[in-house]
Amino acid sequence: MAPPPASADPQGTPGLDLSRLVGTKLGNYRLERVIGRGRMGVVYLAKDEALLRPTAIKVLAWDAEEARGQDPVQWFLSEARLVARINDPRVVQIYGAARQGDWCYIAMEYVAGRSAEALLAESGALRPEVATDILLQAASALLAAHRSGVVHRDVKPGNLLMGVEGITKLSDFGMALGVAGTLMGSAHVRAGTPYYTAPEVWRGGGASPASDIYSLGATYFHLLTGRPPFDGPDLATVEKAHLGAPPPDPRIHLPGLPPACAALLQRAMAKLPGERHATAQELMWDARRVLQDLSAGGAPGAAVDHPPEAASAPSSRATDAGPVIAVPLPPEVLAERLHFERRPFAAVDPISPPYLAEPLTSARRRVEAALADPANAVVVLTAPPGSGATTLLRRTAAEARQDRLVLALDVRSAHEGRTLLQRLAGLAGVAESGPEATEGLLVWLAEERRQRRLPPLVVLDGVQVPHPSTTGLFPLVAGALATRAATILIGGGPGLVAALAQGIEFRGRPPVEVPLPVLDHDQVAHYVRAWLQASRPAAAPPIVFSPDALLLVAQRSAGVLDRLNLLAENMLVLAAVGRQRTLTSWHAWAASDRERWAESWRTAALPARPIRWPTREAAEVIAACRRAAGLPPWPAGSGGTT
Amino acid sequence: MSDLALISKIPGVSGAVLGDLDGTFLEASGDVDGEVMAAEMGFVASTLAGAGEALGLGTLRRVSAAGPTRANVLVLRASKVIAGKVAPARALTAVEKAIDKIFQEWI
Repeated sequence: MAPPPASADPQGTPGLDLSRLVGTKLGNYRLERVIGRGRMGVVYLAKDEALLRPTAIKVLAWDAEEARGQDPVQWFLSEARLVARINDPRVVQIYGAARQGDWCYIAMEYVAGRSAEALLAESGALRPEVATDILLQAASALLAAHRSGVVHRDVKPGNLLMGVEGITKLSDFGMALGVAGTLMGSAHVRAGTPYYTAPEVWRGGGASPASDIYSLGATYFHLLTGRPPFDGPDLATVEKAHLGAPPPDPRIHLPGLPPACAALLQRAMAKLPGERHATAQELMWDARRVLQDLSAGGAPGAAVDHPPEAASAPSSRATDAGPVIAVPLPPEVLAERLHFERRPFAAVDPISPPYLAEPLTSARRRVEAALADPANAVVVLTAPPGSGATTLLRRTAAEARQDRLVLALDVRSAHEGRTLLQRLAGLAGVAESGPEATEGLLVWLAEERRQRRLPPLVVLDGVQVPHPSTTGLFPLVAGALATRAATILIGGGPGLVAALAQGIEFRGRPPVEVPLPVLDHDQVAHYVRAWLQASRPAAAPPIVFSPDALLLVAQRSAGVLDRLNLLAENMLVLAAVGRQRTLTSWHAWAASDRERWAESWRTAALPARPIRWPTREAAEVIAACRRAAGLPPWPAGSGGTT
Repeated sequence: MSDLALISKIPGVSGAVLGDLDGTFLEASGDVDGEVMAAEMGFVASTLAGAGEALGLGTLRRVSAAGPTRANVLVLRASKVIAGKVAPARALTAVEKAIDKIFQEWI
């Protein structure tokens, strides 16, 4: 489309389709594609042909009647001037505003990424650590805005843009207000988005930094739970709830959230502005505390690979932290036919159960001993994937928190592209990029050490070297070695210490390596029995695993807990479907190590036991297992019957 | 003749298994699923061995269990367990007597 003719006077855009401007050149900007739409206009990705950089261009929707004689460029310039005041890396920058013919536009920083709203639409609720990290960054942006005298007035998921490196930026100050009270473009705007609007704004009062904090609290609730705090069939219902209903507790939807998370929301969404966080800075402090709680304690739903304690109640239990943790219920087939009260070999809260099977117990003692020695700045726990190292690290982090500061990260978890260093710096509240990030983090850790008289513990799980997620690891470890500002506990695969040595000069102080071996046959048997005991009432009819079943499941799982969990659960499903209580080598042989049958057993094609068992192939494997265990061979000619 | 063979020849015993207290399947005779029976009898024997001590019976030698249609009899000998499947269940008394007679010979 050719650019529209230039005009000296403001004109409206009635009848003009703002979304059909691809190819049009406005000023130096060639519009390439539509990347967003809103009630104030259409946003294009454009190329700045002078500076050769991608730029976002918002083309204004306006008409002469609404403008009432005002120049719409002035509205945009007002937004640009407000944002220019802020000049913060977490606020989308505005390059300028202009009018060309019928088109009024504003040129902005282009953020390659997605809005939090798009992320919600795609994935539903975000992981609590991710949601809290976004909250922290958005609060930082609000702090900068408020310090510059700007109230955003429309904080919502759609206005939080997440860049490729996980940097969250606050955008769209189109409804912003200078705190001096001058409403910019008041002819064009109305109050913020209903789901996130503060009670005093619903009542017609003025927006303020406190109303932004309320909106950000409501946004955080939405990110955490996948739903707005107050919903309803119509606007009146939503309004009524914002005005009168107490702030909802996110633990209704996520029972494992730390209490600090719920407390933050209660305060941020208080009905009276004076009861909210007094500043965005205070909100940041609370958010950082929640993030530290989450990172050290493990998020709800995190995978775990050890049995729960036998004595805990079957349906729910309270932790030291307060909230009631839901215990996974058993699949129907295991509950009805084998009397399970909780799901065996399943993920549960990784922190509470006191039970740790060998070899985790021994490894844990070695880790604790290594951490207790002040001469050790770096301790590395090495284990094959799925061996229980995550469980051990989380337990260690949770217990260490009782007397020292702990920053704990699962490096493997998707975190919107944020690197290890950025995430740690975010927890510490120091600069997240550039060479000053490591330095700032180390200084902060050293100060924490000085105040608490114990070095902070930095726990990094799932470390792979080299890997983009671990950007910043080497200087951090080197810095910790040099300054003793913190003790670093790293979990990763075998060979990690050698990989670290490639990039770090240890200078005679090599890290202490604690290898976590896989389970041997006896440990597998102990583990299986512990789960059976923990998952069923003591009076339930017994479930018996034959020694050959245990040998074979140990062989098939190779002692790796994740595989053992899957195989053992599928063995139980196979037995339950066949109404058997004694699990044999056939169950261990036939159980899937890929598919989880607990949910699909009605439709899955479960294997049937052959008339003659063991088959020749199975007999060879069983014979090898028996030899290795020092048992006599399977009796010749003693095939079983179905 | 082995212990297993002696027990499996008793009239009324349709099958027998030799195992150990851990439930390891060592030998079978007749119509039984040797691995299942050895595992179950190993579990029962190891559980009841302690009960025998608790009841003041001394070292447990024989355990019988009867249901409506079938019965099982266990003989504990050192760390080994010999289990006989008795069918019909009403034959259990005769099987017990025969086993006790064999036991006397062992003693």
